[in-house]
Amino acid sequence: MPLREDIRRVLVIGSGPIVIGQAAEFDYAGTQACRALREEGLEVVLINSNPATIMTDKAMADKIYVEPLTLDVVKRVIELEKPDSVISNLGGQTGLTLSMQLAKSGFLEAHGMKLLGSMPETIDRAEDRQMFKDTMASINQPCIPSKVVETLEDAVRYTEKEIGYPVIIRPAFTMGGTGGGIAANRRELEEIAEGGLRLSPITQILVEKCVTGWKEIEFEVIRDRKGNAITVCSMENVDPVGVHTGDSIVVAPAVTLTPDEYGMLRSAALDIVEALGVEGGCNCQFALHPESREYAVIEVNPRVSRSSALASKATGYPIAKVAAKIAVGYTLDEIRNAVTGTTYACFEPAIDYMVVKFPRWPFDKFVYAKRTLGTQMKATGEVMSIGTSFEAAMIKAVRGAELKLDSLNMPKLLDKSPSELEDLLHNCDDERIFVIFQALKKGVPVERVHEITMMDEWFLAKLEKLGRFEQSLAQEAGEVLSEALYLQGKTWGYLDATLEKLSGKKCPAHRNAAFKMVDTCAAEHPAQTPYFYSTADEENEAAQFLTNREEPGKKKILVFGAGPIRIGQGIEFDYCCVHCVWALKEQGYETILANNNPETVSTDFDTSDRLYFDPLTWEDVKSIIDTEKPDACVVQFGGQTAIKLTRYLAEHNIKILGTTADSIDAAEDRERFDQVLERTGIPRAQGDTVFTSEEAVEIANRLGYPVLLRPSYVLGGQNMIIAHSDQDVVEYMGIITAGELENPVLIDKYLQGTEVEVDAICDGKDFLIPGIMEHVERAGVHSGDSISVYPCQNLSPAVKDTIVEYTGKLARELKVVGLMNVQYVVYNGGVYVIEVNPRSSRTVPYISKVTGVPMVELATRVMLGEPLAGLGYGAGLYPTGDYVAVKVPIFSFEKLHDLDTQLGPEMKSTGEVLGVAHTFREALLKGLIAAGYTLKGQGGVLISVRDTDKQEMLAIAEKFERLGFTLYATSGTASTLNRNMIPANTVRKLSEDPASNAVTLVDSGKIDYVISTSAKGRLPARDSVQLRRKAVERGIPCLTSLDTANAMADVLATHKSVDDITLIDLTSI
Amino acid sequence: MDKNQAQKALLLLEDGTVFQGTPLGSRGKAMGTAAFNTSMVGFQEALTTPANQGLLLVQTFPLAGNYGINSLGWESEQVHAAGYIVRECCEAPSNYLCEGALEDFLQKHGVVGICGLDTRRLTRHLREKGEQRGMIVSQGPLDPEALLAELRAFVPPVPRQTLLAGATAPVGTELSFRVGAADFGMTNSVHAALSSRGIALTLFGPGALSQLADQAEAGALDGILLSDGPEGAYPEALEPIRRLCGTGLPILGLSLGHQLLAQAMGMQVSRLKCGHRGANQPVRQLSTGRTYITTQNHACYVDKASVLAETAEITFQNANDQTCEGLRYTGFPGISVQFLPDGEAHIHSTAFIYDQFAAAMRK
Repeated sequence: MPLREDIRRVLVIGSGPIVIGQAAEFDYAGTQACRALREEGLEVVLINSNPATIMTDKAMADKIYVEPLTLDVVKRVIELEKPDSVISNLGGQTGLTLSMQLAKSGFLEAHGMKLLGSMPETIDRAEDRQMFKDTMASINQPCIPSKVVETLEDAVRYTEKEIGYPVIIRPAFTMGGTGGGIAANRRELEEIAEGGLRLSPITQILVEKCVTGWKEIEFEVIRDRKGNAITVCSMENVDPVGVHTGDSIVVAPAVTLTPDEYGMLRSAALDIVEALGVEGGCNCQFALHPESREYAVIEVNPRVSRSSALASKATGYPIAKVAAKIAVGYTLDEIRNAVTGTTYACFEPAIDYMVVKFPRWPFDKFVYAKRTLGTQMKATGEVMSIGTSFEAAMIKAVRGAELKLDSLNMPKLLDKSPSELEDLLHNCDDERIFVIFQALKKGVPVERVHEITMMDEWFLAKLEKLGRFEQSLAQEAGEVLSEALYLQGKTWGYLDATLEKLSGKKCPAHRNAAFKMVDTCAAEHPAQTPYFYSTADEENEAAQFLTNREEPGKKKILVFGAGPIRIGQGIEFDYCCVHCVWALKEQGYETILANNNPETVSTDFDTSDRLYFDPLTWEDVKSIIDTEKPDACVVQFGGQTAIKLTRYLAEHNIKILGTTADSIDAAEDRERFDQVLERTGIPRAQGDTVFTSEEAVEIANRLGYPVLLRPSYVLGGQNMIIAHSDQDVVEYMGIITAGELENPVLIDKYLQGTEVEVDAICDGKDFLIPGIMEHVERAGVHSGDSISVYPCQNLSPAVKDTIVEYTGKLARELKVVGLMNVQYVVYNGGVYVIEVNPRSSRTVPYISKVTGVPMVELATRVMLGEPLAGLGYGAGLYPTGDYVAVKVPIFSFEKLHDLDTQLGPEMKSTGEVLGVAHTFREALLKGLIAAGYTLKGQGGVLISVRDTDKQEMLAIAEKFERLGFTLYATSGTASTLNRNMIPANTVRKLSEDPASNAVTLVDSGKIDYVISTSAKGRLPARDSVQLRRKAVERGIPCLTSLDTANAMADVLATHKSVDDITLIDLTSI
Repeated sequence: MDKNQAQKALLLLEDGTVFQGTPLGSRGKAMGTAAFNTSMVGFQEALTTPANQGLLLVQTFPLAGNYGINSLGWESEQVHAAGYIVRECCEAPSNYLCEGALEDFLQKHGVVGICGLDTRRLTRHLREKGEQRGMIVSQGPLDPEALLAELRAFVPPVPRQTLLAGATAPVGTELSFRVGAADFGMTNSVHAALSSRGIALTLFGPGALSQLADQAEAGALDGILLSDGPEGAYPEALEPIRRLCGTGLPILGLSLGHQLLAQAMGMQVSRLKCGHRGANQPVRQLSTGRTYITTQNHACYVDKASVLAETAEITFQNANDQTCEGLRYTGFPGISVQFLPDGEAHIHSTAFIYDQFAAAMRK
């Protein structure tokens, strides 16, 4: 039965900002779903606080509310827009929880609304730990012995009296494993159980027997209301039970299961979705004993998820799209399989390749954070790779993850002895796979590695095989690698350069990759899906596809994506890529997209005319270019990943659309950029480039502290710090020179002024600035971590004019054609340039949405040669509208242990939310609420700031005091306050008194805000770092910049709540 | 034999296409019908399923042998496939039940195979051109012209009589039903599925079908099973099958059995260009509208047009190409399905077919 007649207008609840555990995959799913719904002629009302998504875009929905995802706001949107239904299962845990709250409170019924997607009963049976156990028991599905408890005492009793250690703690209704962990003894149990009870919205945790080491197998299932159910994909975690699936390397399909085991778990998954009454997608996770048929259901997620995004990309089966159609009444046998065009969605994909998913962690930026992997997810993103073998998929995945590795050989491990490597095997962290590879290569037996890591011998044997192959490369005689070994290397996905490095020989004539198609059916049916991956075969299906289908006369453009989601390069770049593709299509071009991120909209094969799912190194890309022969490439929208290709493209005379390679280099190369600034008369902070520690100290002293240190060619301020002394400089240079130093370290005088950011579109002659963004936090806090306000609030007209003038000069001097992002600092009335990025930036999505200027579209058109003047948006500074938009960064600090939360020049946020209102204070209020701050109007504030902040802190402290807060402070801060007649209770530092101090005070519940700044920080042992970590643990807002604290105080002073502020539909701006 | 040749193997198709690869399993020459299967597990079952007799199995999944050979994977006592073609044969299998590697198994059982080739290209070719005769050769002079001539002269043999002409004793305890099975190539999976439902099977080879009919007519049996087996012509089976239909006993026909039953009842059987061979075939049950995922392994099918309402009704239909997937007979309690209800031990969705058969016997 097709479409339900009673559904016309659907409310889609999005998943909010990107955090570890709930990220880009929901933009992909949500976008697919919105498209599917509109295809059915339904109206879509969308609420999502995340402005960086493609979902919150006019193209996707009819009404868009970028508002805080709180129950009250959602209710208000419902009352305003009067949708007749709401979809529950597309917005991750956030969407699910809100939908359930609406349903269970009777609100939906009272408003005559239907709940689509997952029903409350289904959710409860899957998520409420006790109901889950009961449901599984009712269908004879074994669960791991466990008990739901609501107090610490019960947790301890159950563990010690009944099941024994080790145990796993799982809090109810949290996501990404937040608040959970493995406890091997009483002390750990107390710590984790207490934290879990606190974090669960219903104060409930599951204490479960730990089955670490068992195989972890997942199935993605889809079921419709008739009961038709299929498994889309099976997946096997290379890291067995014990490491969160988001942090595991995963292969699809499962490879170590016999048909009997496979059938057993597949049937279990189908029985489970039947018992739960799932209508839509569902993820089922199983633990399978490695030496028996014993298995247990670990968890079930009756909604789209990270795994379903992976399964969709791995098989070509669009789970979210199908789930959305099921939600509005279709059955699987009625939904067409768009891939074949001739078959329906009720089938199970058969794949004829292997897929590997490799997580991307933020540890390269967070040097001091704990890297151990466990039940709480830490990865920010992932890559996927497709190959004709596990080996090929692994090799491609490793280089695709952009870890500066082109194989599984990690440089710092090369010199380690077998016994050293064996010791390292005990560390379950992000580097373990590389330790394993090296250990096997150096002769540690597979059995021994298995014993320590519990990783299945199958994977270990494969890694050992690769190691042996690499060794054989060096053993051959001669200067040129033999054809046989070369071909084997290419079959296993190695780059020529890697083979040369490993063998010490030259490669024979280069062999381009041949592309195969992902068609959901292992070639059983002819398919015209333009979705390809590289192989070392001879038959190139992409080339054949082009021969059969190419429209003569249509020009082709190849757009490069941004790779895996990481801090500093997130879905904002995917937003830009996708919009570029759409704009190109609209202008009559054929579009080709290359990217390897399975979580994003760009890698939906529906987005562009052709999709190549492969790593984005030059050699990989060259094969695509040789097959497609595009008329031009676009590098402006894929962040640093795409920009890195510029040099090669230029060397090979491949046309780059827009700003040339030379101009890009002029912006990024320090010396050349200095010359640009001289020619344009634009000032910047004094600075220099250095390679060694001694040079750095010398220059720092010449410039005068404080100074800013960072490597060039970066994104997200990677490895950037503010140094106040020689010791700081020496410590930093030590860390930087540990990795490979391709480019020098930049050292600049640090100017403490207001940071301003500008994006501009330039056609080489004219330029347009949609808006000037002002940061609440002064220079020194990375722009990605700052609260950003549009339009700017505190700049004088003269300063604004200067900024516009400088931006124009830079755009013209650098011959920017397309987008450009400039960061300025306004210091003592003067405007200085901090940096220029000749490409899209992360502010593009939100600025486009709030100004109504379609930046990527305009940039694409000027890149194609259209003059800016003719595009209808004028030139210069675009006039401001009626609204103020405040972007508030989102952090995932509770996931990353030991990470200092103090903001600085090194970006730490994983996502953002937006508050839009008529005034700055209202917009900021909305933004802070959307970010999760409860904005308590009274209570206690703990202040502990560094010496350089003490004077400035006074005014802020006074604001809080006048609002009625009780102030507490550590000694130095307290004496400053008291001396200035602001009463504050003195609190001891952690190191002064372990029993009663700032940290225990935060633990006591008396504190509602912490204001903490320190000169040093970073090291986990320091008092200040521990204080800030404690705030994170307790969920208490910790403000590490005086500017943020000030803004917070001002917002509290308005005594307003979100209920008082009008809701704004972005489509009406 | 020069060193290069020793590491090379060829797959030739009768239309002249040649694929180069690496020898797998036994060295030698094997000829048969090249057919691809899209299952991602079940290589041992595929090799030992009698229905695959005479086939050069092409596996679309690029890996085989990953979990090794084990005691549960035997669908019969011997290897029936004529040859084996896969991209990669796993050298280091891993699973606690693993008793050995696939390569050794193939060698031990004299299966000539080939690996290291682009099986997707091969699959697409067969899909477009149809299943056809093929030759795998990994020994002797690799002269494509001569080998092709030999291949084109090859006549696929009629299906071997895989079992004794006579009967076998029933197995198991607490058995409630005695079923006589026309065994054209029954698999252990089916045997196990029936035994677990309290069914004692007595097997009758293709040459002993009149005896089966005798026993049925004599009232010694509660039901009849017409098993799967290698596709081909079984003209001598049709008359005994008609006799069986006349006894009024519940009859269950599986895959080949489904086709023979239809033929016995006067319906037409045609051949697909490329068989349905995989574990993901969607089949729609017409009475409920439900769609089930099934395992299938056949190239022939019952022509819908030849199904007359007075003879039978179509119960299942392939959701992709609408071919007939199941029948229920009007004149006698016979049901048959083209798919394998509990196929290759891993797709259990349609196991209810056996329950229907058992229920019919209970009445």
